Amino acid sequence: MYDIKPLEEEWERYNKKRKRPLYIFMFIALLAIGIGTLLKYSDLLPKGTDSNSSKVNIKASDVLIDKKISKLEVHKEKVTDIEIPAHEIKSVVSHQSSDNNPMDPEDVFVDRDENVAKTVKSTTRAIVTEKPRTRKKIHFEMIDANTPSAYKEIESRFAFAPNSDDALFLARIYYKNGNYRKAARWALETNRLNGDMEESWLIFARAKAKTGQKNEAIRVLTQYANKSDSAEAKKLLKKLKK
Amino acid sequence: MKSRYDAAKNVFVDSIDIDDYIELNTSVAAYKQLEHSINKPLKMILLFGKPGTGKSILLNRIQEKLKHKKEIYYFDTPSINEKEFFHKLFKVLTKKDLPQNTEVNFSTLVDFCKNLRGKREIIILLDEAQMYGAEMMEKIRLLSDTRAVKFIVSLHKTEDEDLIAKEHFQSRIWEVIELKNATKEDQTTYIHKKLLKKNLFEIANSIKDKDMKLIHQFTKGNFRECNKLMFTIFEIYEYYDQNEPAEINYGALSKKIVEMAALKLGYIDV
Repeated sequence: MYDIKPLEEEWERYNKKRKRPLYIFMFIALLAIGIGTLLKYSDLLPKGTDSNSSKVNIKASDVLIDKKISKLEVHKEKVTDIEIPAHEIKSVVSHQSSDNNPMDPEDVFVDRDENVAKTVKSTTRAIVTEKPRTRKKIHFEMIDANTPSAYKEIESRFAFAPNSDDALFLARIYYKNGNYRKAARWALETNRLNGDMEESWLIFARAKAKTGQKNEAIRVLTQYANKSDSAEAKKLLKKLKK
Repeated sequence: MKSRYDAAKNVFVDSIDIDDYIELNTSVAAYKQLEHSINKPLKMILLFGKPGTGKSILLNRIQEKLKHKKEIYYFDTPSINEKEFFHKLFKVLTKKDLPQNTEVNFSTLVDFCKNLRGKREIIILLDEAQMYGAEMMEKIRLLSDTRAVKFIVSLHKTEDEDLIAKEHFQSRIWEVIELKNATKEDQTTYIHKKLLKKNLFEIANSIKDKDMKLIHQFTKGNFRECNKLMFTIFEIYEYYDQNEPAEINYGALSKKIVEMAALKLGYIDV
């Protein structure tokens, strides 16, 4: 009788060994796909709405769907690359803030061709419709950085992607709106992520001073002024000590 | 009860039995070339190729085919020594046994051969000639020079033996026939014909082109290696057929089993 079992075991070992390069290749391919997907989606994540930026760039690969999202999306087959001058965006934003519409001021629809701003039914977003020369419509969403929904959006984003710029933005905006406690908290977050951002130190000190913690503000600012030798910090320190 | 694979296995028992001879394009060409060379007034013919390329079976076949037309003798196993070889040769030439306690005198044998010239044409097929020493080969050459005896020398083609062939026969051999390993197509024909000859149609049909590609890859077209591999494949099949029939597909040759056989024969390593 043929002793087949050892031969079967040997074949199993051979088969595993033979398939090893295939498994490695598949693993690398999957890893590459995974990384590619991750990079693609990380590109689509919102980078923060900066009203001072001059242009909004939309990548060809981005796809925009008319729903509340946190990323800019463009239908790939329709448009390749579109740049919208900042003054058009600014006009939308300024229109919102000055109009004081009884409806939610964030909901603004702008049709570029007609050059008319219209209010449309929506809840918390501004929609800009872009019609390029190809006569194909492009939709994308913007979040007004000055609205509470924008803070929440940035705060929620911060939870999974901490970023010193976002934290500083929040500190700045809360301070501007008079929410000094939150401003101090976000300034502290900024310092935690990047201790070299002078503005966050100054906001922190000012916010602390506004909440009645002047001594704490002086103590922190003194430390920073000694460390950085910042003229701005020394100036504020002098002002606080008066 | 015997497994169907028992018969298939035995088809590939390595032998030089003329009944097992399978006509292939290349073997037919080699046969014709050899037959043509024999008819030429040549003294020696060198048949060489790697082991397992079909030299012995070709000699066997030519002897079988020509034995009624010509005086042809097949020395399949090499003689242990010169004495034994000349005893055999004496018997062939004189058709008599050498008296006991006597030895063949080589000069007398050469003279005897010279006397046979024009009267008889004797063909001697010497298989495995690489086993003969240089001195012995020289004596064979002298006998062939008498033109009464024609030697067809079959030689393994390895690096060393190739050297022997060059040194000993370069200036003397008038005809060289080289046998090569079979092509995939020839090997496919070989395997199928062998199985069909024994009425194993189902098994022959179960061996597809992709299986032949694998078999040819392992055996490199060598008939002896092919016989070994096929024998082992059907030996494994026989085991499964008798013990674990659910493990095999009777309609197609299993790649796993071919590879198991190749592992067993050392064609592949783990």
